[in-house]
Amino acid sequence: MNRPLAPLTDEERAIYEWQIWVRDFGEEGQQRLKNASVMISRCGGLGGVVAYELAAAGVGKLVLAHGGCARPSDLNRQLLVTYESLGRPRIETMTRRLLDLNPRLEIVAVGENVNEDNAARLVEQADVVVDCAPMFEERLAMNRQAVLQRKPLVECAMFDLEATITTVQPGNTPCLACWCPSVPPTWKRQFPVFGAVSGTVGCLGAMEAIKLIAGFGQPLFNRMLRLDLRDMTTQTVSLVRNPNCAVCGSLPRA
Amino acid sequence: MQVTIQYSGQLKLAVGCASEQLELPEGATVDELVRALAQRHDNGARRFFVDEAGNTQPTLMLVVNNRQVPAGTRQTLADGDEVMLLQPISGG
Repeated sequence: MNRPLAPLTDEERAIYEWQIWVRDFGEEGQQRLKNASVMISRCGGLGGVVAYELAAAGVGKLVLAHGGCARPSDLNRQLLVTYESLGRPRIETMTRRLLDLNPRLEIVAVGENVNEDNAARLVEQADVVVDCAPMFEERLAMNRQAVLQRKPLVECAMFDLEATITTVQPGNTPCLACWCPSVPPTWKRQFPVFGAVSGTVGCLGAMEAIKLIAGFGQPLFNRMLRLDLRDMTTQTVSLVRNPNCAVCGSLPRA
Repeated sequence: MQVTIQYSGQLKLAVGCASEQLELPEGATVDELVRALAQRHDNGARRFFVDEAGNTQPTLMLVVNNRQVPAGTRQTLADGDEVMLLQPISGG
């Protein structure tokens, strides 16, 4: 992210005034957001909130991957999906809702989920990747490409009233495969969750992406934040690289 | 010695509690703890702890006193340790 930064317009200065006041961020941080690209794997309950917050914050380009058509069971948490859009491709309403908020936003809308065939192309277009997918096959494919291309990856997850989030900096932190080398045999595609839980961890994921792009604060490197909204407790777990990791074990420190 | 086990996510539902205490012999390792838990929760939750060969599930994250223990590490436990078992969760 060392390319020349396009300056802000007067309209952008007015829109982002309140966050430009944030200590260590300022106008240069806003310029970095404007010139950055974030890839989000699935824009449902979790990724939809990541996308909405990043669109609101003024990230210049979003690469969105999400397949399928909107279903009634999306509506409790997938805030970019509308009642009127039921039965239609989710990516269409997601794109429209984001552009309603920020018409300056460049969107690369891909109406399919991440897989081994498209992961490389999607990651290539991004400075930062945010993984919000429900299937571990998608998550592990995205992780492999993020590591190969040395792109930072924010890992967001939820279950019931619990959530976890960590940020991968390939070579310097554990990657997803260090602690989840394969698809967990007990994982179920459908699971209990509230939209308020996916929204909470989505906001945290967006904040991680903003910090990574603008270069301030301390991202969750080598740490996993765990939240339990049932009893409102948090826990920070120290993570360790697995030297035998098939994905990043041989990667030298960056 | 006694250790405290904390469960998260699916695992919490599978074993039917958020935490429990376990008595272990002095010098027990985390893998021995996992095998003891697999035996204690043999009625349906066993596959969360161990694979078919009886080895610790490679996707089970073990956290001792807030520090992750990488898979394959022979870490011994001490009296009073708090061990969290985290099953990977995802988005959606």
